[in-house]
Amino acid sequence: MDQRLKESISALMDDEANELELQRVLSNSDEEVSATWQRYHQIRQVIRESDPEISSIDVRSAVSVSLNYDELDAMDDDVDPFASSQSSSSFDSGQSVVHAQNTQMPADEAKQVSSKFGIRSVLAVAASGLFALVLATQYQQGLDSNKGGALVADSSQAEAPVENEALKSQSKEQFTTVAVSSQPSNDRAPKIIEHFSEEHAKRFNEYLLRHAEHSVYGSGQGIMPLARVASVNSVGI
Amino acid sequence: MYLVLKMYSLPRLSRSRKQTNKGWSLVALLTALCLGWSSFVSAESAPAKAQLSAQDWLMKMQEASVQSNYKGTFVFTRGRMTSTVQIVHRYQEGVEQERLTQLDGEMGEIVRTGSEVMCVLPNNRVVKVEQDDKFSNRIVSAFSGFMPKHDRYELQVKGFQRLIGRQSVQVAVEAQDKDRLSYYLWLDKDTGLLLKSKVVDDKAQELERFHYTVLEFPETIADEELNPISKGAVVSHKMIPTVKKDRMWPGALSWQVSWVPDGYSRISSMPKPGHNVQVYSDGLATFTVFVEQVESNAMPEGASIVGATVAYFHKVMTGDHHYGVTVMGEIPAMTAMMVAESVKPDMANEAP
Repeated sequence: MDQRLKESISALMDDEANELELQRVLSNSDEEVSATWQRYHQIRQVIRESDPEISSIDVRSAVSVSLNYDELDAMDDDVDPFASSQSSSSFDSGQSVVHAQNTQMPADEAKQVSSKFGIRSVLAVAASGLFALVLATQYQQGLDSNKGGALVADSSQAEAPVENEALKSQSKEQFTTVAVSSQPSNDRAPKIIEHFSEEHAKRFNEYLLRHAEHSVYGSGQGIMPLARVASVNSVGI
Repeated sequence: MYLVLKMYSLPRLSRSRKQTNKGWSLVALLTALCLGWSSFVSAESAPAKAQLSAQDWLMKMQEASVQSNYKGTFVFTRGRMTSTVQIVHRYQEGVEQERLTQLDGEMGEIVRTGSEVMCVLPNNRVVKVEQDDKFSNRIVSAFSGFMPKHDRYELQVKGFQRLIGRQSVQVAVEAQDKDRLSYYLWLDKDTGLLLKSKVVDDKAQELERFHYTVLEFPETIADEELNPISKGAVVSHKMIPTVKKDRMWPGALSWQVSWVPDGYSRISSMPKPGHNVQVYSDGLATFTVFVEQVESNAMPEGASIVGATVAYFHKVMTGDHHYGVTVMGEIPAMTAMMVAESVKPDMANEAP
């Protein structure tokens, strides 16, 4: 495994990977990549004392599927995104993920699966995988281990269809929630910038002041837009 | 009942006007109108006062925030940041004036007269937003009749609560989809002024909290109270343009926001080539789209969040030139990202 790939994995874990790096990691499906991912994650855990279980979940294939489906999804946006994911049972969703996780599917095969089970159900589960990945990479953002635990359970349900009625309805609810949280036609979470440099804060305030000037009438919220400026004003413009 | 009488009597009176004394019938008409109108108003307002709808309360809130005198101190919490701000607001002869003074940390002030906004920063530096009258006026006229859209927000009067020694009414404005935030408002029962508010996201996480700790409604407010406190000469004066009109941009491109969430519409004027700002609103939430050439002090790509406000910065490459798109507003980060990524130069609309 070359250094570039290692760096890409590291970047992905730090939530700093670009599109190219993400594709690089996803297209390498060998064991070594998984092992590296897990090892890097364990190192992070030691540093951050976070939940050790989540590192063992391999969501790459699900993420690839979800990325491939972005294009398909973007094309039929006249369909209500919630309609089929809500009506399909979790069992269906689970099965489609078994398909999805076997290989990196070519587009036509993916379409077959989607017509069989409903594209939304595939998407919903793929999204849940992506969500887990995002969680794993953004652990530093203070997500508690309980929440992580719930997602571990969620992902394992996705891998093996569950017979139990009670669990079924529970997982359906989770899928719906996950699907909702990543609904708008692409399943990426926005990158959140945690630390503001002084320059950054200044810039932010400049925009804020202009935005406030536009919305001081527009929003009908009275003093709120300017109050927002006033409350961050101490960092200067 | 009087209303019915009024409506009925109108055509009858105007018909009789032709046959009888004109002056006499005019008096009769006016009397009937006045009688009808005044009784209509009193009959309507008595029960309405007891049971104002959420919409009525929101209208009252806007009116109060503009057309009354008030001064006080409020605490504003945005994310991890809390600040105490003093406010003086005056409405006199149709002109709205206000001054906000930061009470924590270094002193900063914002002074507003009408739509003119001026910041006085520590060390007597002044920052002003340059006026683009046409731009501002258009926004004002588009929003004279503001109201959150019914199908986008659910409005409800939730109850009454005592706050800072006053009676308040609680109004919930709950977002019905993922492209906006929810607002919980506590309005003064007497005046309608906003006493407290909370802004929450779709996971019910509180992003922003605003509440008065001291508030009074004086009859008059002296001019001195609206002047900036800062003494001494202004050290530097910086103008931030509302709209950049940079025709030096390659091709003086006009920019198109090709996706906005349902319910939002543009409240700024038609984007012109070289113009770099567009403003959108759904009647409650507002976001501004800025397009600029990427500068050295540009923000990092991604979402910068302070309380309920997000600024999403995204780079666009057109030909050999880099542009930066910044979407700022009180909207979810995901929505800001999707709007920012949809901004494209409108090649068909190049300036000659």
